[in-house]
Amino acid sequence: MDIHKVILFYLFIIVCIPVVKAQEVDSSKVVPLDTSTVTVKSVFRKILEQPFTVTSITTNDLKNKVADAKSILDKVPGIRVMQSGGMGSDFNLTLNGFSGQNVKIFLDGIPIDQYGSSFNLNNISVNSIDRIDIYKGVVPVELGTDALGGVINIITNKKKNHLDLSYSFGSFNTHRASVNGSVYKPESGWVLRGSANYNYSKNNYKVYVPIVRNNMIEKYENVRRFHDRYYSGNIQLETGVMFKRYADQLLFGVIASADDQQVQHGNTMSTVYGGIIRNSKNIAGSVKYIKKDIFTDGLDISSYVSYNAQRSNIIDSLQGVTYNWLGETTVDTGSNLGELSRNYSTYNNKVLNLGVNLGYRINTNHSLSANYQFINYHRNVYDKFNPNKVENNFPKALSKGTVGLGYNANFFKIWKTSFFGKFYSLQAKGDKLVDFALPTQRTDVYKSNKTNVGYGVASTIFPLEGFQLKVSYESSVRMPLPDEIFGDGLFITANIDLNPERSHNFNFTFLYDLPVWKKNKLSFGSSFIFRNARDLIYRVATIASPITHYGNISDARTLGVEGNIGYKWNNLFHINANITYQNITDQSDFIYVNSTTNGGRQTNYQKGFRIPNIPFLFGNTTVGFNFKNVGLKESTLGINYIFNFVDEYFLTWSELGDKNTKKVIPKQSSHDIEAVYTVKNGKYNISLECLNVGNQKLYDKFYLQKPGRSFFVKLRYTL
Amino acid sequence: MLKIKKISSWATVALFSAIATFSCKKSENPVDEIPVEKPYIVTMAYAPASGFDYSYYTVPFADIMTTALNAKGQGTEQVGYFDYTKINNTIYAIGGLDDVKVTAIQQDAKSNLKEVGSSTFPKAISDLVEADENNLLGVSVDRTSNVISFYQIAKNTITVAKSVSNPVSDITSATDVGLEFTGLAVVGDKVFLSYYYIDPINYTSPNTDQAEIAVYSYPGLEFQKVITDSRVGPVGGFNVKGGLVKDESGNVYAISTSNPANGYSKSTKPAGVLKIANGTSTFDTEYFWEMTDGEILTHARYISGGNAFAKINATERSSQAAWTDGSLKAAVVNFNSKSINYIGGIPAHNGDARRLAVLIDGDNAYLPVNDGTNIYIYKADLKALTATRGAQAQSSFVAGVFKY
Repeated sequence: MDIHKVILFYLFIIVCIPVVKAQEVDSSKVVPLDTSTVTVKSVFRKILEQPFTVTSITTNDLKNKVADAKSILDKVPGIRVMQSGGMGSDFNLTLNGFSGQNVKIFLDGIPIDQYGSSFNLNNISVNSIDRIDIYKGVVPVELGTDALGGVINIITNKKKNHLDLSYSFGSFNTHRASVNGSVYKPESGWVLRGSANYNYSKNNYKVYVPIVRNNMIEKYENVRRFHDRYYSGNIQLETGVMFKRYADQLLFGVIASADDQQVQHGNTMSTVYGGIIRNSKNIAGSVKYIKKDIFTDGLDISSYVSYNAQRSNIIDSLQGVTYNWLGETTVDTGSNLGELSRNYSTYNNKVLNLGVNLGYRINTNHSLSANYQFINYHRNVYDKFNPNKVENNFPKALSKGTVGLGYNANFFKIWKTSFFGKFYSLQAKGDKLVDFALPTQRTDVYKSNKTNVGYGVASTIFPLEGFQLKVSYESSVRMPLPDEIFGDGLFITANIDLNPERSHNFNFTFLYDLPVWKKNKLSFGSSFIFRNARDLIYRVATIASPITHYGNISDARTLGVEGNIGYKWNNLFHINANITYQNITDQSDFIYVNSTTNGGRQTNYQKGFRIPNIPFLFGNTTVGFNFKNVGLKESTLGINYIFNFVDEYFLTWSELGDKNTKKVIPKQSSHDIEAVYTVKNGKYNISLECLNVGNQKLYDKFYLQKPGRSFFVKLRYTL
Repeated sequence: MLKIKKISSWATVALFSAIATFSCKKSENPVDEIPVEKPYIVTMAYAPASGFDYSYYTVPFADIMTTALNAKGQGTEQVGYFDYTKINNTIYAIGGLDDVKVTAIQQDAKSNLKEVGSSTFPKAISDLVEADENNLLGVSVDRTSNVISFYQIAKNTITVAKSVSNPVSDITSATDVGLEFTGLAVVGDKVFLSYYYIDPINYTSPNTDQAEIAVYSYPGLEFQKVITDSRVGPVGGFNVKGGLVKDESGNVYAISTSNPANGYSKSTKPAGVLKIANGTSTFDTEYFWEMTDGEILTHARYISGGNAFAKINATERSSQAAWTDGSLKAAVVNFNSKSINYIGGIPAHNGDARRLAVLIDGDNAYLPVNDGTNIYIYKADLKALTATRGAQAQSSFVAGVFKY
């Protein structure tokens, strides 16, 4: 049934092609767009014209949005951002079904995960972002990293002299303030860029939940979340010189950030917390150096080094207290148990990161590129309440190096191809408990060295004006993490032989921008996606013994199609729609059940089943109008309506169990409306948003409920 | 508005009663006389996709000896860690994904399984047993907690009638060890709770020199005393729950293994069975069934006349691999004659370190056996001591076999 919807969508596109072609006219009659649009488009175009399957989002249209970077990504085909609650809550971004360590996120080419929870997609303001590039499956050498699923690169605003102030407020006591600006002195070449963001929300939206009293679900009721307050702040400053003889850019940067969050519930909403808190602090310094034609003509260098120190706490300090959704407590007098697991854990992470990109243009049609990335990661954990916790006595260290080499060629001006190879090396060091729970129990130091190779090719051709075909393939690798190799020193035992995850990623994409006809602009595109991931690392499930380890067990296959279509008339009316269908199935022949009881390989009875908890059919549509000079001169009024759709999906293997009694995350559709009024060509802006207009019950994985109808206002001033 | 609501709810009741009356009239025989088409219930667990717990499917089958068993498109689903026990005519699913529930499951005349009630708990329920005609008793013993919580649960409504927390300090003053639950039994006005001492951080068992059972009053659930016996080590094993076995006369047998295969980091006393005679709350000094090392009674399901279906660990403790719950042989044991009679035709196998999954159906026992590659249901003739291999269970493991 689902595949039928996709076929219908494709038929629709195919039917559209001849209709639109019949309307083709001489493109020289095209009225030139205003220059600002052209420049934006050219950068945007350049990204899209790469042979890689890349989606680029310019945030120019989005800067008046209340949203954060994450909710913008959620509208991209192939991406789902699943959240456990409101602002600041944990999120899980899946890209064509891959998530976690298999989708790497960069900020201006530097891995963002090192900054921790206080500086990530949750709290970077859209106003400090210029563009977001999403590379699916096949990743260019310049972003040298190990990721099976792809890379998201957030490009911050690099305008030379500007100021952008914004403040938004709305439902659930939500406030966001953002300042972005830069100063550039051409005489001295001195530049200062900065941004500061503050986010606050009580996240006290209503949820429909069971009220437990006296060990019974007394009733289901709509109640407000009561322990979900979140705030975060960050400051990013960068200063240095630009356009000097010795450097096109030499910049020194610092990022300081902090956040504090109350935790409302566990993995599902059936466990309510009223006392658990998380917070973190982070400081990072960086130096960037960029120079074109260094040493010799055609040789460009771009490099950075960054160091980051982060400290975060997880605090579960209540004893014997159980909350229900009304905020009422049941106290088990004398009990010392925490709400989840009583602890006051402090995590100290230190990360050193280094990246060098070299590019050499042999001639206008041929170029070489090389990339080197090095990351050193060190972590230790201390639990104030349980200072003897075994797993915390083993600090973990990891060094990872990636070398990438690429060759880019242009043939006949219409055919571009990149060949690339990537070499990965990993040194991990950790301690490990041997002979657990036996008289011979001891601690050994373990080291693990691994190397691996990945390679790929990406090619694109422009057979017609505005029409582009892309084909790309990568044999990609994700190196294991220290926890996966060494375990936690206690119940997750080491597996020194753990191999990297591997995947064959194949993409086929076409994009077509039809020539403009009588102010009608139509464009569409589609991608076919194939991923065959092997040796996926996962924690071996246990039946009853407390001990487990990570193993290379699981194979998964993704077959997907994505499509998008956009139509615009005279800058007055526009409609954009996209849809994603992805069938992600378990392809393992065997699973590995606990190594001690009934250990070993067991037939995988789920082979061919769709992986649960990941949506497989979703899409959204935006319809909008832009009016000029409404009320005031040099003003614009934009009104958008957005329709979001996710088909039902299952919490567990869909094939198992009686369909009528199974836990299902129901089909969901929701509607958003936004209005943006700008005065003086965008100097003053006010926007109003109403999200989830119909107050639909919306869910994410594990049945987690999302906010109902909410309203936001954003005020923005730019210079 | 309220009035309308009331009227409509009365109307609903009336309508349903009418339907009920009508349906009753239609069927000639009383419901319980119609033989259920699919009386065998198998709870099958399937491995998670990733970072998730097992999902369990409790599925009714007409026959469990021929066609391969699976949960495709059938069975009630439970997600998380679950333990299943059948008391009288109800299966109780105990567990949850991150909450803890006791859910009662019953079968209707059309073989469908229905959840008929549930209650929720703040922490994992270690075991659930029959306490009296109308009530069950649940207990929550957490190795890091300093309280033991009892819940008296009404059978018909699955509501918690009473909950009492007793401090662990009643039992021990040591703060560096916790209690690992191993068994629960209610006899008349006494509750017996068996446990062993566990290091809550690294799961070692520091004290293995004596058996200990805590005695509480019933239904008061007040702490009375701890009884000890140094003829054997601690009672029961990690997560297998069957440390205490009650017979039809109210005698309680305490099974001690102190076996590395079931969670012990050392063994300092022989394995064996002790008895608490009905009406007493002391170990019977006259009774002792000492086990030979390499032939240790580990799991037992009481049948009658002193007989129990049992699994015997056939490896010596000194050469035992830790946490394996094996290697096990199926047998019929008799607590009175202290005899072990092995059942032929069942290969030696490892257990799942869970509650023993076995169905006793007259003179037969049905049990899942993991032969190292596949899981099959074996039908054992308890009189003839023979067994035949039945259907393959196509799941990660079998958490329970029941019959209505």
